[in-house]
Amino acid sequence: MKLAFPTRRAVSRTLACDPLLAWDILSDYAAWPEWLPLVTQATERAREKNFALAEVELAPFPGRKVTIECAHAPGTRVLAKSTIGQDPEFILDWTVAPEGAGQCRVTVKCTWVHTPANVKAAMGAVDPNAWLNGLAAQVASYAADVNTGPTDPAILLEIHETESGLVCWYRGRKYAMTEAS
Amino acid sequence: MVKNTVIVKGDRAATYQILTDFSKYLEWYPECEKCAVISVNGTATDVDMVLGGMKVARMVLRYDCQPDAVTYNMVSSPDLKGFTGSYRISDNPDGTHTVAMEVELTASAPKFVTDRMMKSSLEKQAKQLQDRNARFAGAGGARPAAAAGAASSAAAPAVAATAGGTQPAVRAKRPRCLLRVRKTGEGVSIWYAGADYRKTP
Repeated sequence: MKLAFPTRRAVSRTLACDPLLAWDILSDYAAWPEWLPLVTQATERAREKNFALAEVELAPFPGRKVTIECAHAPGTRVLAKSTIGQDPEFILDWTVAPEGAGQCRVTVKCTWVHTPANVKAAMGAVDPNAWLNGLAAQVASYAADVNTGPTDPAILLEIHETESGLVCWYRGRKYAMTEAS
Repeated sequence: MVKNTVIVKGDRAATYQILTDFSKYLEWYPECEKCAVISVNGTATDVDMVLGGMKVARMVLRYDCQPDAVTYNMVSSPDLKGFTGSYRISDNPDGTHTVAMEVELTASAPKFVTDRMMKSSLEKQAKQLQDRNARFAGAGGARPAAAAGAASSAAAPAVAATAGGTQPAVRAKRPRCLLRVRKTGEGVSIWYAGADYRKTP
């Protein structure tokens, strides 16, 4: 008999961004390691309409690849679950709802199946509050406008990442940065 | 409300794909004589549907497609007073999944007649869902890409990644700020990856 202790946690937070931006970040599975402390590596293997299949490496289990299947409803929800039979078993259910002008309410419901083998490693990593902190920080990085540059004269320097490379605003002037090596 | 549940052995994603591919309802929905998508708005899809059977029923349905449920409500119909229902998908521990179906049809006919029709319809739909999912699970091109992409076996990623059309598209990157240096009264503050760091002389 397999011993397993499913736990469920739900945390919500209001973020200062358009719901579509939050959803865009949540459904970009390959970029999860940039902001989600639980995930250290992620590769999106397949994507079709409202589904994706990704392979992730989790912080508590270095070197172990976990396949997750993801279903996303545009603009409102992202549900990622480890495929059946894998360790750890978990479901991350993200919902995004508009909340006033320029704001949205993000809720993450986490279902995590603790087993004697994974409980110690996973205990600290299953922290939805930290995940929302990461998401808030990621959202904040999209707030500035690379085209107009900083509007606050106290900002001396801003470096943006764009499709065409790095762009720098320095003392009100815009520079395109090129790779030196 | 008439209800039915069915256990499906194949991929959950394939079932979802079957339920949300409205243009193919003609192929499996027993009484469906027409099913054309009128508009798509986020998760809501308006569909022009004609159901046959004892009497032809024309209607516009609004489907709401969520990851674990597809619900529908009647927007308008010259033949029916109401038509609502849902398909809810849930995983089972043995790797199968359950589809819980329910439907409420309100028409001028007595309720016991409409309920009997809907009961028969749901039973046929359940059988069709099982058969269609099983067909998708077999080798060959009939399998929807989404089903291949969300297969539950550990070997699935390699298969899915090499299958035509399932390769993840390169997402357009939104421009984002990586680093910001702001002059303050005491020195400078450095913003990096969402956090502020203060530097004083």
